[in-house]
Amino acid sequence: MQTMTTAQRWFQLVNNVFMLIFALICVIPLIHVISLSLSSSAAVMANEVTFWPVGLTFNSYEKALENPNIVHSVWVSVQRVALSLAMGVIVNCLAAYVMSKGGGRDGIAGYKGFIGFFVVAMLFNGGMIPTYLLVTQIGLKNSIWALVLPSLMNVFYLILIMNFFKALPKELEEAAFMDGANHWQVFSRMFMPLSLPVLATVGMFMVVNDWNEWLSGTIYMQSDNVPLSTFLKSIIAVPVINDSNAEDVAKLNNRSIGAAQIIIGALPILLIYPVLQRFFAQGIVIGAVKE
Amino acid sequence: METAIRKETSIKKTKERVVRRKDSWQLYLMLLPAVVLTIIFVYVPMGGIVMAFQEYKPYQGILGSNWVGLDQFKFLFEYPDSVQVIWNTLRIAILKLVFGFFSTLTFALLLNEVRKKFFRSTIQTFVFLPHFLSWVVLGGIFIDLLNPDTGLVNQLLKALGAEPIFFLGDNNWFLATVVSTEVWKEFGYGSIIFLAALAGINPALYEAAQLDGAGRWKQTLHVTIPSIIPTITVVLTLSLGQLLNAGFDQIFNLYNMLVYEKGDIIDTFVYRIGLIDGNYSFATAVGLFKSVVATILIVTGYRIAYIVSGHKIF
Repeated sequence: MQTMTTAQRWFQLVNNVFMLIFALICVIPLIHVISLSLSSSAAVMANEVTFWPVGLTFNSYEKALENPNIVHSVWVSVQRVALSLAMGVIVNCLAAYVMSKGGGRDGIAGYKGFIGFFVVAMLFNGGMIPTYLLVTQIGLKNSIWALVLPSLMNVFYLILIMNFFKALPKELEEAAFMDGANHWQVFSRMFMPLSLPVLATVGMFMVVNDWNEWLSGTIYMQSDNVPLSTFLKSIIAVPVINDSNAEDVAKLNNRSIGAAQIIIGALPILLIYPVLQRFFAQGIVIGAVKE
Repeated sequence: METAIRKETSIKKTKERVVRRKDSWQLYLMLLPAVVLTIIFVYVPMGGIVMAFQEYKPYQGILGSNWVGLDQFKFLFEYPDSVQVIWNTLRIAILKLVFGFFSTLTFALLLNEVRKKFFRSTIQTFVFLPHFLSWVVLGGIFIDLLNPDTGLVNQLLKALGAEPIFFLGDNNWFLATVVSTEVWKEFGYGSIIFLAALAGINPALYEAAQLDGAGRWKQTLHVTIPSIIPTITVVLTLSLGQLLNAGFDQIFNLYNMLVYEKGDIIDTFVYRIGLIDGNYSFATAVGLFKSVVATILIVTGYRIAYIVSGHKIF
């Protein structure tokens, strides 16, 4: 254990303060908006709210949730995330298992061709307009599947899972094959249970992306049937209350209702975040470091 | 002896022919969903690219629409709006890459110097957070925060005696706002890759440097930086593919008609002329131009990364 010189001690101190400032800068905007959403109308109007609610009240949340469309949009988002997660994990893992086996005795014919097939799909696509026309023409418009199917297969997830599969000890599957297991059994009873860390990581990617994605809701869904992210996009900065209603004006104001809407949109992510970030710090490394 | 040799040659032959396991049909079945989805949602739309060479009319369909050759592309490079949009895209993307890279690397190096594990992971928890919030949410937050009358930032400016700034409605400020909010959102999360590289440096190198009398700063210069050069190279070359990616989600949630001059980018332009104005062919042509250039850049980036440091994706 080396002892620190005075200069080093000063550096440590200054650096720690620096890091603390960085950390605060990252959360202060969010804290400010949370405070706005929980403050009384009078305090918000008088610009008294900074980083703590003034005159704590849930009026803005009540008003925001009065809109039946927001409740329905939460339901659409939940369905979308559940379907994408369940189907996405299966589709990507199945493909990753096959691609992890290569083109040899345990693998498939045309392995190189399939690599090319997926790499091209990762690098190039038809773009926004042709994809929009396709989804419309195959009759997915205003269906939950328009929000699920187009993004289900993701080559980035495939590679992440595949690298994890490749890193599993070869002896395990060899022993299983020796005992007469087939590919499906090795995949479902051995690879999947052993891959929980990477599955959790990919699963979290999926949940976050699908919860946050808003564009497909805008272009494929009717306005009364959109996911929450799209709904938020359409109402942010649109006044909710009317100045002529005296009772409303005394209790509410558009700024804190807007803040409440923003927080409702971010809430699921904020709730799963503690688990999320722990997995991510590990998961990314699992994917990034090969061998 | 002879039989042994024969056996060996027969083994060699089977290796060449590759006899696959009897249950390899299961593998094709397992690959099927992924292949079908990729064909439908990636390869079929690629066929729709022919629209860029047509004057596509929805009621005539792709087969019935008139062919116009390269007219859409000619228009793309002659129409002042689209030329402006290409420049905007490049400018925003390059600024984001440069500032993003330096802030991320600096942050990673400084965080790496933090001794206390608990403190370090707490900092990480805070700085990763913005990455996971969508631009819809963050757009809402920044629109409030940067409001010229009531926003917190402008109140601070007023308290300091400065004039309030309309960050999201002034062409002189929009660019800086977009770049700094993007850097704010991603510097923490982006540092993961560098932190992983820093954690992998062999501690013996530092001990050796210490024995040679190197202080912390010298160690950073001669051990830390050289050790993460491969990671830096990969990150930089791969970011080449992002040169035309100015961030659709962010711009779309922050911009408005006041700042089209500096803030409109290829993706938002395609969205407006295609999906709002219904000019499918021109929008597809603009999108195709972007995809082709981006693909060339990405492939070049991957090639360089592979040659320089052996980085492989598949």
